[in-house]
Parts: sequence; C-alpha cells; structure tokens
Amino acid sequence: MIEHEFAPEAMLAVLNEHGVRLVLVGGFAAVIHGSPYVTTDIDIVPERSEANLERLSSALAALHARVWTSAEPEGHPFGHDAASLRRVNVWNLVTDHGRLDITFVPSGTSGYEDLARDARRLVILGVEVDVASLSDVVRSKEAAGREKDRLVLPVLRRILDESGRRDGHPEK
Amino acid sequence: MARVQDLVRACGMELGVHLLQVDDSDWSVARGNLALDVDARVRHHQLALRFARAGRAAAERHD
Repeated sequence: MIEHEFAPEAMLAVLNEHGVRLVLVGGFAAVIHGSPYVTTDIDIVPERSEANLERLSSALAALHARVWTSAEPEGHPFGHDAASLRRVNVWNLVTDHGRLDITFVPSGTSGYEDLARDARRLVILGVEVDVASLSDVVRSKEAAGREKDRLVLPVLRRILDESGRRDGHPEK
Repeated sequence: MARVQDLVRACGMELGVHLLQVDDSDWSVARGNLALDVDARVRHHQLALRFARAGRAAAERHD
C-alpha cells in the first residue's frame, strides 16, 4: 500500500489555492472546538454553485483524489466535473495528503450556507479555513445518530455548555 | 428478551432496542491504519495532533 502522509493543512491549502468555498465539519471541527477524539480524515462541506464545484473539481485533480472503497484503500481513479460531483451527496476520497470526505448536505443541516452562517474563519498552520461552529457539529452528529457520533456527543455537549458558561452565552 | 427488559426495568432503567444504519467509516480508517507499520500509524496521529493543536490555538486566538 502506498502511504500518503496525512497533511490536512496541505490538503486545505490546495482547496484554497483553487478558491473552493467550504466549511470544515466532522471530527476535525470537533477537535478544534476541544473534542479529545482526534481523527485522521478531513470532512468538508463545499458550497454547491456551479462555479464552486468546477473549482472543487480542479482542486481534486490537483490532489490526485481517488474514490476510497474498502476493497481499494489506495483509491480508484475517477473522472469528475461540476455536474458529476453534484450528483452524489457523499464522496469518500483518498488524496495525496490523506483521506478527504466531502458531503454536500450533512445530516441535520441544509448544507454550506446553513453551516457557513456560524462558522469561524481560522488560520491553522498558515491556512485559512472556515470551521463549523460546535453547535452545528453537535446538531449534525445528533441527526446522523451513528453509534460513533453517540459516543462522542456527551463530551461535545459538555464542551458546548462549558463554553456557554465561560462566555456568558451559548457556544456558537 | 422480555425477561431481560423486565429485569432492567426492575433496576429502574429502560433497555431500548433500535436499529442503526451500518456505518463502516471508522472501520475504513482502521483498515487503512492496519496496512501501515506502527511507525507510520504513530506518525499519522502526530500529524493529526499537530493540526488539531494549531486549530485549537487558532480558535482560542479567535475568542
């Protein structure tokens, strides 16, 4: 198996270089808000305009993105453009810089605009990225209801409560 | 099953039974990890932690 060094900042830098509008969600967004459960894949929600999907397609080509399946952990090459990317809600990919999961409408949300509203723009290791608010991460995980989400939710809710108490208002 | 539910209820708790969709996303990552040697697994997590720490620091600066 080819080992692709996990470099989330490099992956996000390529997406930024291509001007892809996205929100970072999932496990890494949770980690940034304080979750103790570190993951080794990146979950993003891109904006779904034609222009943005074209930019996403270019970025995926630059990242040598391939479709990840359990049968082919190194990924299966696939052709893509704005139209084909739009047709599928979830893409599980492997790139030169690690695993990348793309979801256009995560559970419990209506997609990019819904998540971008309360996202924080952060600069992480020199890369600018919009990170979903913890309340949106919790909302999505509650709606997804997967067993792994149910395990992490108690600590995320507690972080949310603590943050709200510290700041005198609910965590965004 | 009914007997087990009765016993659980006698302890003041409820035993719920529900169906969940199959989710192999963590297994997919684990399977990828299994294909790596131990050094590579640790290195991946070091890199993930490096990004996570930088992300948390950025979030704290933002607050």
